[in-house]
Amino acid sequence: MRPTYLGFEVQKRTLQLAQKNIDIVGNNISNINTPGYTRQRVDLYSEYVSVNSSFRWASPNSNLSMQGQGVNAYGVSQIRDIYIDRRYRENVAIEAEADKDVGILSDIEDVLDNFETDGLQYFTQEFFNSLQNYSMQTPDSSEVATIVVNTATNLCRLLNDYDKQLCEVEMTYVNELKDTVSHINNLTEQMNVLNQRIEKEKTHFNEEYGPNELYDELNMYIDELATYGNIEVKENSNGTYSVKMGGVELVDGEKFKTNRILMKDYDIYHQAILFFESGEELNLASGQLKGYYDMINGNGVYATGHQNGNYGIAYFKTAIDEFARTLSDVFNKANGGFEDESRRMFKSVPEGSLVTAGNIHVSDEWVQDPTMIGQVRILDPVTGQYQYGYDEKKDEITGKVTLQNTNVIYLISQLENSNIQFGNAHDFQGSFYEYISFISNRLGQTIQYETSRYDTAEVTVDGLLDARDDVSAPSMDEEGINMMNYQKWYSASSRLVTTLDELLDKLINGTGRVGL
Amino acid sequence: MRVTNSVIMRGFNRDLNRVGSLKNDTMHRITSTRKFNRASEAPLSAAKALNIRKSLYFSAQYKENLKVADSFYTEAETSLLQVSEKLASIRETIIAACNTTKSIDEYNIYAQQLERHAEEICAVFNTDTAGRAIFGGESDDAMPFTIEKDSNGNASTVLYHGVPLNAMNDPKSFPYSDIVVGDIGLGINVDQKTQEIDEQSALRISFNGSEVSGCGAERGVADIDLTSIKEGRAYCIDVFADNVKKTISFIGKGSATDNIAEIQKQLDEAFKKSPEIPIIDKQGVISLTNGGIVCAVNNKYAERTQKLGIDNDSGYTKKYKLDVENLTPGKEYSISVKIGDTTKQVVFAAGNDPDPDREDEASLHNLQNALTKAFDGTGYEPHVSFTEANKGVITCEGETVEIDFESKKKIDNSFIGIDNTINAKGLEAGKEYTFTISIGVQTAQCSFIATGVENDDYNLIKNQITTASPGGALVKVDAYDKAYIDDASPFAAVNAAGGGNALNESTKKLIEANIDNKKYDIRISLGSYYRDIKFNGVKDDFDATIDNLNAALKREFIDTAYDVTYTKADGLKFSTKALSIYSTTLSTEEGKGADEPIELEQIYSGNYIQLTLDAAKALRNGDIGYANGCIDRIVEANEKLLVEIANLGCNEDFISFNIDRLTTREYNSLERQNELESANLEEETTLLKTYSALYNACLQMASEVVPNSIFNYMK
Repeated sequence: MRPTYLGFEVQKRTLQLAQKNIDIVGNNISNINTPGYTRQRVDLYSEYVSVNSSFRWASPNSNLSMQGQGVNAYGVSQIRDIYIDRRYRENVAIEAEADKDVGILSDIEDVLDNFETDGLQYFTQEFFNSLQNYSMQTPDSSEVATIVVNTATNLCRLLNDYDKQLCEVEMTYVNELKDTVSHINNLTEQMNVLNQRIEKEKTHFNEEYGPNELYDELNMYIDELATYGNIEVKENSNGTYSVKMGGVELVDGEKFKTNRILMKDYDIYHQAILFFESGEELNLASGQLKGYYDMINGNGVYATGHQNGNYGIAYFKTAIDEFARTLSDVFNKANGGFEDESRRMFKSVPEGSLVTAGNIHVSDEWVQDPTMIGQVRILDPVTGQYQYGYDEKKDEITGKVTLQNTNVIYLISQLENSNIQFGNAHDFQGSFYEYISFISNRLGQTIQYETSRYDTAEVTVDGLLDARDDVSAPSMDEEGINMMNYQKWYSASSRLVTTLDELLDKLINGTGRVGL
Repeated sequence: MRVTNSVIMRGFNRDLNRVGSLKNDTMHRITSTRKFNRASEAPLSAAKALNIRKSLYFSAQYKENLKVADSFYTEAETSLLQVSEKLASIRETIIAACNTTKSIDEYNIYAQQLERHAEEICAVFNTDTAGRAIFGGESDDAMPFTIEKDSNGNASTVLYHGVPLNAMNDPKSFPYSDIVVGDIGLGINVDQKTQEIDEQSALRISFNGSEVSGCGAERGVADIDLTSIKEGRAYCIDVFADNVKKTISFIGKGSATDNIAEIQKQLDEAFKKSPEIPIIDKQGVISLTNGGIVCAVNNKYAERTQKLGIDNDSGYTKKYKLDVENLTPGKEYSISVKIGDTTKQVVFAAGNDPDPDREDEASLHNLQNALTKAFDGTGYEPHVSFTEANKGVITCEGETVEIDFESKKKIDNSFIGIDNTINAKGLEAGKEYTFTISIGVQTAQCSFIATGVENDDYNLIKNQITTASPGGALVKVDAYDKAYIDDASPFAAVNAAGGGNALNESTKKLIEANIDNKKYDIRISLGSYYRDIKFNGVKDDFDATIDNLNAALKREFIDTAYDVTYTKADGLKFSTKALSIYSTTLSTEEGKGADEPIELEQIYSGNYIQLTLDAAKALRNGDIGYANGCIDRIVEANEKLLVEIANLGCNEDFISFNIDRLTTREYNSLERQNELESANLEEETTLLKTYSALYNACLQMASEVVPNSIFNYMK
């Protein structure tokens, strides 16, 4: 037999569920602009009461009486697609990495610019021009020779400045990396706290449901973490999430532990070295941290230790160092500075150290005697020692004296010599001009490559964001329609209660009063 | 697909940003007028642009270099044209001077004109462009050409960078004569090891003044005034011998002989590595045995030293010389020689020998003997030079020698025939005949009174000849009545008087292996003579040692009847000197005068400025012959100069061609640069307009971005 108030109970639940649905629509509309919010829905099901168990006394022979139990709900769920999440996180790591690469390389390009401002090519050319002008005069024309010293000094200053600016770029990004690492550590700490809250809250929910808002917050943290490195996310049975970065556990949702990232002192190692508290070195396939690694430690063919083969700050610093060193070596050698120190045109400060872009200077001897480079080396037959002088090239047999500008011409030929080896054998062989072009080109090509990588990743990430929003973001129309739907539902249910009430009223008040 | 609000908003923002960014980029390109501002924006174009820039820089610099070179060449051409005009004036002046006989005063005026012309040419050659003498070679010296004056204040010697232009035949031997080149973008080729520049790969921007104005002389010796050397004082002179310059210094000694020995020692030391060592003779004349030019000047940098009197006989010298080539063999000549205030009549005979060299040498010896004899007791010691470079020049240390010559025919020579044969037939009985017999520098006078009987006279003459025998030679008369030197005197002994065992006694050969760098002193006995020979050994250079030995042998055996020489093959060898027998009895009969035994020495400079000065000097001395000789040479120089000017013109063409070439290249490069780097303003402006419109449209659309939802329609 059907229980008398079954209908009322069913409609009471219906009204409550219709109300809850409207609540959730309201929640969705309220959070339509909340970052990270995932649209929610009430998971409804049609109630069924088994006739075999507790109600058997009511209707032992038929299940009819217990049919029509109405609607019920399992809980409020989030609509997310974990596959889209995974793809998004993979691609956002690539995007962030390429973005960082482009940013750092652009800063390098700002320093090594040859187009908007007068760069290395211009100052090298000025040096060449002054040598040319000097070669058209006699070697003892000190005014013209002084100009050569000045242009060489300017070239040295530019190289010094390049080095200083590149060091500034380097330190800017090293400090940024330090801040980023510390930020990641904060992030993982917050995720750990959230995991703990989720585990506690989870006990109040059915198996498949949980604290949606906490999950939204956790997912946002994970999304951010994904920009720093390639991560893997695992959902634990207690409702928490564990995250691995570069294959190493970063956040443990089961043991509620975080694995901090640490950075070795850059001032000591002069290389960016990141490692986990657990001991492993960071080895990332993508992400901002990889971008920092590649750009700070990227030293091309000169990579040692923790450095890598990318063309980053280290490489371009090395490249201008090589330019300075080669300039110094080639001209010092051509001018006889290898045999006689006083013939050196360039030197390092402090003296004795390896010449770099940061320390290259015009030698004191050259500054004091600008015409030094116009002089040639001769063997003094009396002392048996080599001497230099522009009017002292004396033939031992004929006693003939010559004043030559060949040394200056010889120096000029060094600038055009296309067989100069820059750096190690894997780097570049060519002339000074070609090397400048080569560096500029390498930097330009690298930036272009990274930019295109970024553009591709950006499009993919945007697509994935859209796809994710397709699934998870609230839609105003949808919610409005749902709202109207739930409203009508509520009205219908209310009307049913009235009908049931009328039915009961008929039964109670109208029964037996025929004709009233 | 669900289009959610966030998708719409993000999409809109993204697109708005993109359009904004495109618009901004376009604006930047327009305002900077550049297609790209960073290499990364267009790496390929940037790489090309850098190359173009390099090429532009280079073109500009090379053009600059070419302009410098062009000014040089233009200036040089102008200068040479001026010089050419001056040479024409010089020629006219000399012709006018030589035209008719003039007084010394008139000649002096012409000489002054010539000197002024020479000074003007020097001034032209000293022209500088931007502080650099065009014709100064590699030097920055403002005045490469200078003119030195003699003691009379007349311009005498032209110097180029302090070196007499007559001193060296090779213009490349002068100081600062190496090429100076400029890089004009032909791809300069420098040997990375030797630093030598391939001249063809660059443009020459220096002119060697010694090459353009000419250098060297036909011959030359440096005549040191030995009387100017004071004991204990230091002297420092530059000696130029055969394109080799050496500086020697020495301290004056007490006697002329010691000074000569000292100077020779210094010359030996200084020129030891040269192919020829100059020698100084007893009159202080430094010459080369191979006839090369020797010049000497006081070293201008020598401080605290005395000036040495040096007369470089490589131009007009006003010295007389015996014209050995044109003497009639055996003919007797008479000349009037004036040294200081003393005038003497000197009679000598031309040598007579089948070997022309020996004949010449005999003539020189005869003249020397005659001069010595004539001036015996006057205090003058006239000297005839035997050296190749100065052959026959008559000098007297510290004095001018002037000669007034007349020729005499030999008479009364019926008893002396050709080739020293004797013919005693028909001599006048009772008459005293005199004759001279000479061998090398030695002479003996003979006289006899003829008997008229042929046989007796023959024996008289024969006895005279046999007993007179100058220099200890044994002169015999053979069956054919020919007088000859008996060369049956073998080397009696060769003793090593000192300095070791250089000569092997038995073979009379040098012991080659034992030669060291030291002085050797050997005594060679030959017939009745013995001579101590001192010579320097040169270790590891047997030929040089032999040369030294032969020079010493020639010097020491000069007053004997023998020439002693050493050859590698035969060791010591000797040969007899030319024998000459002739009568000294003067005749009153005048000769025809066709043969003038003495002539004024004529040496012409290879440099036309020096030639002009020499012509002036000759005119001052009234030597029209020499001045005339200068005319042709000036004309020849002018012709060469015109060729030079034409060459300069060609080079100027080459320069202007290259300037054009570079201008075209520059133009092309600029166009290419424009293409690569310049923003296309029309295109960019259109783009900007498009992006602006797009951006504005986006903004306008903003109010529509969040679409009306169902809520707008609910009631």
